[in-house]
Amino acid sequence: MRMVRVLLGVLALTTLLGLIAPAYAQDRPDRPADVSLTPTDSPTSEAVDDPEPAVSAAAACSVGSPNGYVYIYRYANCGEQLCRAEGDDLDYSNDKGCAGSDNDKASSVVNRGFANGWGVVRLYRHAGASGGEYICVNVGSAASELSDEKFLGTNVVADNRISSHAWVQICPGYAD
Amino acid sequence: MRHVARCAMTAVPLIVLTACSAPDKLPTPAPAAGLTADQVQTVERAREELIRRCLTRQGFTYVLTPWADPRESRVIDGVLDDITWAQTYGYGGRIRAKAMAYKRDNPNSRYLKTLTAKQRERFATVLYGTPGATLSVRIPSGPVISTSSDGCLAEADSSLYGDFRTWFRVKTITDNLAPRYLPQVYGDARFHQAVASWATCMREAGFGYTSPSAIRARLASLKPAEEIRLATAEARCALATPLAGTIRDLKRHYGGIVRRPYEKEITTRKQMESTALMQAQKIVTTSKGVQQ
Repeated sequence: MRMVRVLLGVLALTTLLGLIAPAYAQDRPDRPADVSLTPTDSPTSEAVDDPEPAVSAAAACSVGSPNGYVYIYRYANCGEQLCRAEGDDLDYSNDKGCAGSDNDKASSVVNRGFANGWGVVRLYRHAGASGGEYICVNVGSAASELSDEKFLGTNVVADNRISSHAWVQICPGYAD
Repeated sequence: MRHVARCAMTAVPLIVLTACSAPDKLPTPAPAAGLTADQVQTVERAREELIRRCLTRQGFTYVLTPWADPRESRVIDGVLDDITWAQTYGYGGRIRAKAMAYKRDNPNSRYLKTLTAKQRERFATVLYGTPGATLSVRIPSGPVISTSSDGCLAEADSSLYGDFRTWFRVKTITDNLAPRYLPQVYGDARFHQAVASWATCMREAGFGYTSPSAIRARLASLKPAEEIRLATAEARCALATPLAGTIRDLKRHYGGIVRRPYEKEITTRKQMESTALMQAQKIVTTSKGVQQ
């Protein structure tokens, strides 16, 4: 009888864990974004807010030296430069600046602007800086992998969707 | 004097000492709202002055850049719905052209061209920070954004906002919440219905554009007078039809859903911005170079 009670207890505990574990796993992707610190001499990341490292490859995207340009790359982590632009480019599909073949191709971006004064770059899904902002990149920062882009309530992957950019003085903030 | 007055207005006496001293000593109370456009500019100007001081300490020269009036340099998202602004600035094309001309040729870009390759490399490390000492954050829509955890940019932010790692995290996340929901706003059937009404209004005003996006794609080719006429018509039609209100409502709806899991980051950002404003006011009042 005692053995039966023990077995029932184990069964109940296993069932309970089985119910909890999937719920926990479902919650994980929705937690607030992590910050990682990649030390100079190590390819691994130290997670700041979570023991699980969020990013390890970001350091592969080196910013370089300031020259006032935004650099657009075909692949993540700044692989294969597509174009660079010092001013606005409101339509990648035309022949100026980030020319026709570069439209909807970008997978990483680096901002080599100066310290201030229209040094922040906003990138957009459509021509004319419209269709919903894609990402805002501050001076001296890199967006090293755009490939995981997902929009609210969808599984739409929006990698390679940048079609225009505009320089601004600051990013938009939390916009409420 | 202005700084003292601001501290007294925004905090109880016990907090005044805290809020007006070093930013990382004790927490400051959460403000009711974020910074105004003028306050943001005060902080940004102070930040640039701190960057200038940092570069100067390292033997480099940096000239403060002129800032456009925040009322002039607005970013139009969705539809232009301010008739007075449209009548004055059009879509802001002239301001933007002037800014881009300055961006291409300014005292700092000219100075950098006088440096040797080795000096430029050192300038980059001093300003941007040590390559590889990288902080990275994955923003809610998926992409990863990274920056250096040292250098003059990080130092200036630390002086104003407090802990740089926290600031970089909350700023990067909250700056990039809009990309998570704007596609929903512009994909909503109510938006498309409102755009159709707006297009009818525009046609009656003599402009055959089917959407505000169709105008954006043509902005670069517009002459100044044409730009103002078109911008004014866009704003009038945005207000005369449901378009402006629909965009506002949809942003509130979808934006609320996206912001909810990040309320903690938004609150932290507001607290850190409040601290930064008080630090900035001290810097602005003690530095003639920042006041224009």
